[in-house]
Amino acid sequence: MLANYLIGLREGLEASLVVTILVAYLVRAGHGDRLRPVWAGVLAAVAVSLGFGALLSFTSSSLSFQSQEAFGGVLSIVAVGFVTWMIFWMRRTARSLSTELRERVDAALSLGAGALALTAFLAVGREGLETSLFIWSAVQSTGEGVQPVVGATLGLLTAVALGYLFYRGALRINLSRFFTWTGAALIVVAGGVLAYGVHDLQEAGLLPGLDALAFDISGAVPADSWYGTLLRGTLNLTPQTTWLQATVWLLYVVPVSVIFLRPAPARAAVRAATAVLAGIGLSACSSPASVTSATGSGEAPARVVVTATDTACTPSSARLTAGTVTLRLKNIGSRVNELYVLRADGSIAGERENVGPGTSAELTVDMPAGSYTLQCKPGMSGDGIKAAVTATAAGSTAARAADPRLEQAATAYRAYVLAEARRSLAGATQLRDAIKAGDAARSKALYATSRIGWERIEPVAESFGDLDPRIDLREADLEAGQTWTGWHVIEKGLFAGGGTTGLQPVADRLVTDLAELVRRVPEAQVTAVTMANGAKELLDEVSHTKVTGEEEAFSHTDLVDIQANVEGARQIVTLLTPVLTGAAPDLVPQLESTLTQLQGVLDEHRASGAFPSYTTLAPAERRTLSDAVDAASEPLSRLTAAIAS
Amino acid sequence: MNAPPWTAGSAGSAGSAGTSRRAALGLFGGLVGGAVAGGGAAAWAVRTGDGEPAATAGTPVPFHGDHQAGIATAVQDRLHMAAFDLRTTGDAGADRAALIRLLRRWTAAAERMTRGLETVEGGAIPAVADAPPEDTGEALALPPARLTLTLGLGGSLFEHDGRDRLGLRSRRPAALADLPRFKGDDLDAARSGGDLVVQACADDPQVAVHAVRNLARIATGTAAVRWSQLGFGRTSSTTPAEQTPRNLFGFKDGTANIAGDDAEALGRHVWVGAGDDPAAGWMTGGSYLVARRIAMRVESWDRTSLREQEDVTGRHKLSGAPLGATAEHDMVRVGALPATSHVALAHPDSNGGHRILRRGYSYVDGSDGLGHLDAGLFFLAFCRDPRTQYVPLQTRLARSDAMAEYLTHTASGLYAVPPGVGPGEYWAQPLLEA
Repeated sequence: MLANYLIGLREGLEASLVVTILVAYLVRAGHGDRLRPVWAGVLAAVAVSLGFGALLSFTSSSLSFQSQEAFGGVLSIVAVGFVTWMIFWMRRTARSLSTELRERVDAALSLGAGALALTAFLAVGREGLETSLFIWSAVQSTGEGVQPVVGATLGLLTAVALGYLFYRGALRINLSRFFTWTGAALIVVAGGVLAYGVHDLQEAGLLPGLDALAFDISGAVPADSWYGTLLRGTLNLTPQTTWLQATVWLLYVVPVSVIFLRPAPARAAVRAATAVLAGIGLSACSSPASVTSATGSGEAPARVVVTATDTACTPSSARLTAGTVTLRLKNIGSRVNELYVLRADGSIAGERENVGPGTSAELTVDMPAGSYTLQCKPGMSGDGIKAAVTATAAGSTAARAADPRLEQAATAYRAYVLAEARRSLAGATQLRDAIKAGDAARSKALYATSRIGWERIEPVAESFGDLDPRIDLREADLEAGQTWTGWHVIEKGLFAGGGTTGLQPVADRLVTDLAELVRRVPEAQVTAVTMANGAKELLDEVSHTKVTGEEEAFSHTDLVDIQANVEGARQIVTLLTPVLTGAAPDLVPQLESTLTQLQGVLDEHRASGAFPSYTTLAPAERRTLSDAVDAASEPLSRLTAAIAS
Repeated sequence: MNAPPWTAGSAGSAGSAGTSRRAALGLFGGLVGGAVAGGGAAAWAVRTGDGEPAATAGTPVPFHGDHQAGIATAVQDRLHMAAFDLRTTGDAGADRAALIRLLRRWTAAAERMTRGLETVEGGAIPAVADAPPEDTGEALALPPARLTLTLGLGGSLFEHDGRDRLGLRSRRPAALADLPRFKGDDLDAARSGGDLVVQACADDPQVAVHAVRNLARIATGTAAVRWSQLGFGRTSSTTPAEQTPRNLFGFKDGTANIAGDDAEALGRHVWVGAGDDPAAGWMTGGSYLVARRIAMRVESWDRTSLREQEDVTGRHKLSGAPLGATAEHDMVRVGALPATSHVALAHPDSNGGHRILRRGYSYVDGSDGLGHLDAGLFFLAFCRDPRTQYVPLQTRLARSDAMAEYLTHTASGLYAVPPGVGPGEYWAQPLLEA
């Protein structure tokens, strides 16, 4: 609440001061009746600011970040120019007034009336737009509480009140002192405007030297303290000031002060000074904050909420869709916050300042694909808190799939899957025949080999969610009331029950289900990405249930399964290698060496011909196998990213 | 020479319009003062209205109350949980009396330890050096650290291998029926169950360990430790204003949990109501604790892509926002999530509106012997009736959850948590003294 109050106070104070000086001057010159142009200018500025601010907050019309900085810059150049003109006009007419030549006063005033109105309009309007945007964002956040609006309004009222008090004080003091002090105040104010505008141009990248600080007193004078606020509101003094800012400030204030304080300068000199200022004044005003940008592309922008506290800056997602992105900074902390979107090279892609506590504000930024950093600055100073985000083009994987080599790989893999499914079907058919014949020994031998084709393509088979439980369900995975079918029923019967009794219907069912698998292979989703994922999943299978010996709880033929899983993974790698060699050349030798080592460990176990029962593996041997599986799993896990990037 | 017109003007006007100007000034001054005062007061009010902070390390969590502490209490950092098996002699009366004696001594010790005191006055350093200390001493001079001790009673207390050892079988709550076997369970019986269980939670692990250890010491001869579990890392929060903690999968866990100060939700989903089980009225104001030791295959998970992790969980990893939403606490629309994602299946909207109060901890207990960490989630949940709130939920998750591929339940326990203890009473007194 306090922070929003201070924002309102700060925004209102500067405009209040300028208007106060104008009004005080006119009253003391005995021309209180000429206040109308000033009030007209002020009211017009308020109305335009509120209206424009509402328009920007509630619709999506826009300017790009660069354009809005330039627009603000032009506005400020003109404002500084007019304020400077006003300073010297006051001085000039004061001299005229002192000779009591009312005609000259009237003449001067008549020249000045329009200019007075315009000066008032610009002074208020400059601050007015930024204030208006802040007010509207606070109003939009009233769903989150009325406090921000109340706080800011109180701040504005206080600024008006302080202006009035200053006015009262200005009326009482000695006249010459009045001129001197108000003129000096305006010079300092204008200098501050110029310097702050320079800073914004540095942020926009149009001027260099953003990080070269002349001084940094933000420790002693935090931007969101009341004294920091008053300094900022009156002098535009920011606790962190760059060298360019300081230089420009001096270049303006010193010559103008000298000219102002010297007696009776020539008109030409005054005009020259003003012209020089207009020329120098590359100041952009404190930027009127971001405006929501046009959705001209026709597609909905990605929306990301950045939740900011006093110590954290958390986007709702680290991945954005590249293009026109709408970011919403939601400030749930207690300090005023601002959000910067920085490109990978550190340049600013967009910013939104002045987001008070309890309010939210939107910012739309063009974010082509790439890495970005979001930077929240509680207190609007310091390095803030950063969060990395990435913008990726929508449908990039689709674009990648169009790569003909990946299409070829997928086609070749589908053929492999079909061949292996058929291999298992053939093996299961033989198994069924052996069971029918009551040949337990032969059935046992055929059990493991019939599974080879299935184990090579297991992830694809599993993608048919309904087939896998029918074919390969382990007893441990049974649910209460579920009928147990598939290979492991046969396994238990053959290796634990010791016979083929009662297994015939199960074997028939298995053959039917595998035939269904063969039929449905063409409709399986086989793409390069699913292949890459599948290779990782094959070794995950080994790591989860086979290296522990849980898969083949009765037959202990886990090594046969593992061999098949590894072969399946290797086949995928072989088919994807042409693409990998280009996309991720470092990955290929890692895959090669780890898979070869894994195969070597397996080969050691079948040195004498066939794979032994898994129970014969000592814990140390299981450990060796597990380590080799893990080593190969690591590069396999990077396959998908390598072909999809 | 005349005075300049304006000086005359201002002097003149100061006189006649002086009163009105002063009044105007006074009015403005009042407005300004009011604005500043109002703004300041409002700011101050906002600051102090931010909600009660949790008890600090020096403030004990009260042991006595209508409900046991350690359920709705703000989740502490560490867990030490231990289950005990009673040593019974076959004489139901004697065994029951022994249990009552044990619970009396446990209650007295717990009431002191939760205040940061020794189990008995001067327990750590006995006056007689020849006597073993009654308090083991490693918590001497440590602050209470928000220690809570919560007692649960296992089904085996009421009926063990078909025998009614303590004469309590008739008072067993219907909701304490044994959990069924869920798909994929790989339960280690030695780590499951138990006649009694004590949950010690504290911000200091030494305090939590000290508490359980001393209760075990007191129980020597009457009950022995069956299993014990240390937990670090809260994986659920009962204080939504704080940042949601992350589990070992790196995801925020407990976003949609029941808040500890949500009396309405607690009354509906956690505390046993007076009419819930007429045969077990002693449970009114208590709750049921489901403890599941869930091993997580972190190595496989860590090799899984971020996209897959988020699809399996159903939330964005960084922000905790449900997929398709933008902020962590945005309403979950189950229809917008992948059908097999964890959140889609576990959300109350998919479970008939049933909610449970989760209060689990991460654990890492060495290695599995195959080069992997034995890491996981020690899942703890309190609910009013596990038959309707937990069993259907876990059945659905075990059957369909994409996350189940990375999980294995390796131990299980279901316990009846009696209501709170009043001054002068002992734990589970209403059960044992009908």
